[in-house]
Amino acid sequence: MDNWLLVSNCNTFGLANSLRLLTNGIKIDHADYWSFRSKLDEYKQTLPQYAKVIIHPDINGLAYDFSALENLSKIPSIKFDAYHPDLCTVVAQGAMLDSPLGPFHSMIVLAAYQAGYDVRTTCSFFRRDVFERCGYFGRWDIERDQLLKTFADQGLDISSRFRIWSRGDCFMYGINHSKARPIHDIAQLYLEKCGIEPNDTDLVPSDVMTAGACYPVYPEIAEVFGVKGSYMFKVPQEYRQISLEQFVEQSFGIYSKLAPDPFLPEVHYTNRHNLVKSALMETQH
Amino acid sequence: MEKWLLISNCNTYGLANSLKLLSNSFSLDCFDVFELMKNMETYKETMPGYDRVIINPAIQFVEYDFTLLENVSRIPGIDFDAYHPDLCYLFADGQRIYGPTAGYHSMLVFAAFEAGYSVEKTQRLFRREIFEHCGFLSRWESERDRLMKVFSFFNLDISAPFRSWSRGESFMYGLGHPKARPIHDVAKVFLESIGMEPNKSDLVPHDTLIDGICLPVYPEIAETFGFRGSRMFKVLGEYRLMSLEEFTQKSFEVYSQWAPGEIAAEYFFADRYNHVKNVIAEADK
Amino acid sequence: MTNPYVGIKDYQLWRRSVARVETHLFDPVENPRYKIDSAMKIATAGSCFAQHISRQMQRIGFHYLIAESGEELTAQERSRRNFGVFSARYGNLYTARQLLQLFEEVFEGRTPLDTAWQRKDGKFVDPFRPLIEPDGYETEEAVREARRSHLASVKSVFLEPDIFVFTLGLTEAWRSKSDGSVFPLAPGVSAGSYDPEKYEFINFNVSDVDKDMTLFLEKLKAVNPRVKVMLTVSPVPLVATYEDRSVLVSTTYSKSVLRVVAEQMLARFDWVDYFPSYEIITGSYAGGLYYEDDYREVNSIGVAHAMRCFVKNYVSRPVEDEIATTMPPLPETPPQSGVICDEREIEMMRP
Repeated sequence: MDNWLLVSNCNTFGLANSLRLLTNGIKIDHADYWSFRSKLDEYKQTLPQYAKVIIHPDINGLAYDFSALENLSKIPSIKFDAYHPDLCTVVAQGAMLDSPLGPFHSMIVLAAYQAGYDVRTTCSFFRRDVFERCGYFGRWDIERDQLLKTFADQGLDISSRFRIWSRGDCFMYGINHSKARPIHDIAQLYLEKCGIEPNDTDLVPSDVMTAGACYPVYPEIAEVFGVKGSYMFKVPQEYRQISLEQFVEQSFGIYSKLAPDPFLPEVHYTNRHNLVKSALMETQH
Repeated sequence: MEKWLLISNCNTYGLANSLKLLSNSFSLDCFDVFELMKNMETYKETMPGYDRVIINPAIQFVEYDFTLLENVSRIPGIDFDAYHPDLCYLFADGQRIYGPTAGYHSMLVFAAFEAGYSVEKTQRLFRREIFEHCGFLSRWESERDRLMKVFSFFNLDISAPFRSWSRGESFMYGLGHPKARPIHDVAKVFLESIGMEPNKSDLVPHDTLIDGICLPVYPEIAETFGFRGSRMFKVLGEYRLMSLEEFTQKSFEVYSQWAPGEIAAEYFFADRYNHVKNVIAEADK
Repeated sequence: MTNPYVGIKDYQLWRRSVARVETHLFDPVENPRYKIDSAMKIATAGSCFAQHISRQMQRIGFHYLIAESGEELTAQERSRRNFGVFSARYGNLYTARQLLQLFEEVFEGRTPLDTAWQRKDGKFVDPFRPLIEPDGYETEEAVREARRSHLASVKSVFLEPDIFVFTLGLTEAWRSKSDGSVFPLAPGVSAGSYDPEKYEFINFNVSDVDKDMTLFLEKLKAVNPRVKVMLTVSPVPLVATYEDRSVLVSTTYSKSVLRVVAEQMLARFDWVDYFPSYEIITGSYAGGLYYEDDYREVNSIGVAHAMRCFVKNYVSRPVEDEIATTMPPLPETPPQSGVICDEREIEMMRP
């Protein structure tokens, strides 16, 4: 029996389970990047024994240089922020800062906090004209093109699936957490690329990403993409949703403990964060 | 905040996760009926301490009088066999028999085994004409009406969500195993039935029952319900599918461990099984 | 107080017959004008959606009339050369005008001026069924010869069937300026070449299609008095429009014209019935479920739905068949073991 190894990020489980559902006679081992790194010495021994090693392209060279492997394939994961243009990650004291929704912070909440607004006023910024000023409606085309290119670079054409994922439903829980169906479709496309006919089944593995944080698509934004939005924020590790007000309140609580130390969005969000800051300044409240 | 307790069957965890996602006005504990039976004495003490206890009416066989509790609600499980009319339970020596899909057996496969068919010949029984004569294509209306009746007995009207569950796909993995969405919608209907407004969110918790056996809806049956169907059986506890051939073969191996006539369909399925047997005998002529 | 809607039937009410019915159970057929049994001969013609109907008719076991069977060929060859796609090898007859002119050619000696078009590869094809023979013909005369024998077969498609099924497909077409002949494909698309002096675009309106359809039906009935006709409208959108507007807007216009004409035929001839496959596939209740990913081709589950409604309403079946297909119900109160699944399964689901 063929033995494959999959090393990826938070998509690992979903991708491995999809590959298992879709194939026969292949044993699929999986490790997320962190557990791979912690058992690196073991893996160095076993790696050459795998008939196929599938990695996320972004992890190559981080802990290990896979390039020399003969049967190496790469499957990217979905990064797509058009549904969640308000999200950013924040660094404080040199480390990633957790919000009530794990790694996901709202740029509006952060900017409002930095500008000294209270919770009520901050909640009032969640409306169409502010989103418009922040450029939140304009991300679809560039994000789609970027996403399709990332996959096309690995020989995977996801364009027709992409149209299906985005029909009437948002396919992301956050900027880098997709739902189960897209991950499953990617597994299927990968197998087809390898010349393996996927099993004829309509089963999709359990959507384990829902255990993590699920960031809502604000209704004003959702409408533009023809999906249903919400202002309920699902916290990580438990099945509980908090309201916008609670989210703002709890985010402020976290930020206030850090003051007066500086904390900022990760560097590639800087420009967008600045735009949000100036948008709030121009906004009537 | 109110304290609630939920005791159910295999639906328990999906139902609990959904209730938690849908409302922030109670805290919820839950366990399944086996856990209740194991630690009955402890739970007898703790159960009265809850503001509301929700049970699946099917668990009322346990040795406990739930009417002793002040605030008991009942949510039945979703049982629906129109998708899987070929399923039955088998027993021998007063014990259930377990095959490649645990306790679930195919009446066609078992009848073929009893009639001395080969694995290959058995697979040829899986066709429209046989299904039609077995009555496999005509279970929808009666099952739907029965399901609606069971739920409305407990003051739960699931007719509208039922229609959306059955649109373009099957909503069941087996006889009493619904997918995540139906369980979630039942939780929502329940909250509404006791006058609570559910959270405005479309988030569905991860699917818990897909870990169990997932029986395919045969394509000829699926077609009449407006989707494609499959002939691949998902095994217990792992993401692996078996073809009809493998399923038949493994079922035969299990049945052959018993003397002829020792295995019988559970009385619950006896009439149906006899009917299937007659159809096969007729087809052989 | 009363109003005229009091006492109308369930199928007249959206809520009762559409909103409150499971998608796959929706059935818009009421009061069919005739029944079909397995002894009756059925012939089909029309646009590409009619091909699905042809295939299903054969699968269900109807007496499907094939006047050009290609018996001497292998099954593979037959399907490659489009034998059995329709009752004869006329290819897609998208417009009512095409159907009428075919009839006139068979029975009234109509002779079109265009008889052979040349393909890019040098081979010749029949302008009125340019895709039917994938290999084409070496000479123009060979095309004409093939058409002569084809027309002889078409004759029996009009004369023999008890039921003639026609699927109306399009209103847009290209025609010859010299003799008014209408082609299934524009000259130059797969064969021939486009010369604006010789050919023109036409988008038939309601009165054009009404006239053509009425004329055809009258003529058909005259040669085959026992025939009954079933009309359908193809739910497949236009692949392209020549009108300077959105292809979807043109599709809606085109289908609307065809649907109106079908209704007018229904009112005019009591031996013509309309089968609402168009409504089954395109209806808002189905929400696009019955189209392939290109939103154009109808998928197999959509075809299956239409055919279920067809069989249920038009096919007379012996009663004993119905009884045989039901299944004994499970006992009313199942034992607990039936409802409470095994602990070993629950084990998997505990967090």
